[in-house]
Amino acid sequence: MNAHVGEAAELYALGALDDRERAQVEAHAAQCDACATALGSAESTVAALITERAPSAPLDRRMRSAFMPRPAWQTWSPLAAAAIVLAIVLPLWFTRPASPPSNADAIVAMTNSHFTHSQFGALAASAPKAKVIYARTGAWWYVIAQTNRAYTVALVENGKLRRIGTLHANGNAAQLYVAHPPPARMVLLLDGATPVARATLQYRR
Amino acid sequence: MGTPPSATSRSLDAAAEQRAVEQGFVAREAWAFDACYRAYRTLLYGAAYGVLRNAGEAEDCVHDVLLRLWQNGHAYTEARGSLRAFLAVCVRNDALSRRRKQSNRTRIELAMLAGGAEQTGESTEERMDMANVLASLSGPQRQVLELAYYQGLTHEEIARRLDEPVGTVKSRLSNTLRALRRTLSGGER
Repeated sequence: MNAHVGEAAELYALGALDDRERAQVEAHAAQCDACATALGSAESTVAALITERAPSAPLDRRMRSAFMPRPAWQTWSPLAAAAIVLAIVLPLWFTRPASPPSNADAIVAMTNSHFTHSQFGALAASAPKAKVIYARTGAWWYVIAQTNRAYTVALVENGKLRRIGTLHANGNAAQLYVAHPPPARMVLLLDGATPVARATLQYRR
Repeated sequence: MGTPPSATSRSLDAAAEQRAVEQGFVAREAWAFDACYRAYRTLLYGAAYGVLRNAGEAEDCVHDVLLRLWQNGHAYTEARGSLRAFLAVCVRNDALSRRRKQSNRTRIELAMLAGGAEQTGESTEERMDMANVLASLSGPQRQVLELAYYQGLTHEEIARRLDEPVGTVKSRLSNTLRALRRTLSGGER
């Protein structure tokens, strides 16, 4: 459908189109911002007509298991992980004696526990290259990034966002050590209020 | 920086959270679909149940729609606006498709059992909640809304039922929803 959706926006939202017509509207709206906006407005009106109703616990369980995170992260061998971490941390440690104390906390944490890492995936073109190194028990996180910007580290747990701290930038390397973080499955980097990258975590308690 | 948490910072957090979920939804990230289900579960289940009137079928509908959007893709973009409303209409439209397929099989049996009465979606009690809103519509507008929203008929079925041209019915449905939008947003008629 190349023509704009016009009054079909309201018919779509009301459910008054058949499957073929509905697919045509969806295909057009995916490529046309003006029609997507008109469709969204009609959808909001119909959503206001719907009577909410609590689903059963079995549906909650089905949905939870459907969207369980896959192990996208890979566990590095402790030696390889330690080598990379030290390559980033040691220059900061020796060249800047007055650098933030979280470097020391991170080194102590890493030398005393088993850890793994997860790469941040970009949510925006400006996302820096970054990782979160974390204890397998979830006892600590160490967020490192190749950036000179003080991104905010936040977590999302049960659909709620919580700011944890700000990266300490030193040249083109930035880091933040977080002791005893909440048991979140996802970490975000925010540029102001805009999420630019996210990483998923999986613990072994 | 250095200011205590305020209502403004909380609303910024809520906006950032919503933005993250929308971006994750567009990128078809599992965590974003999980967050959407947790946030909108009562609306999505209500949308499906309102049409299907069967708990098991409504649960299957919500489950299947979210998984299909996640695995096969979807048409949601930032321009669409409310992700909540987008999902509610996706679920409701899927529930209507299911009911239409069922009704093709069971229309004759239902007509016999119900003595010719149509099976409607929302209960009388639930429809009473909307009574004030519906009172703002004209008689012909209420009639097409009844047939489209509450009975789940397509515009062609409504045209046949009312013995009116399809174009007339489509325009009336469109105008009806726009009138409802003005009423719900508190604007003048």
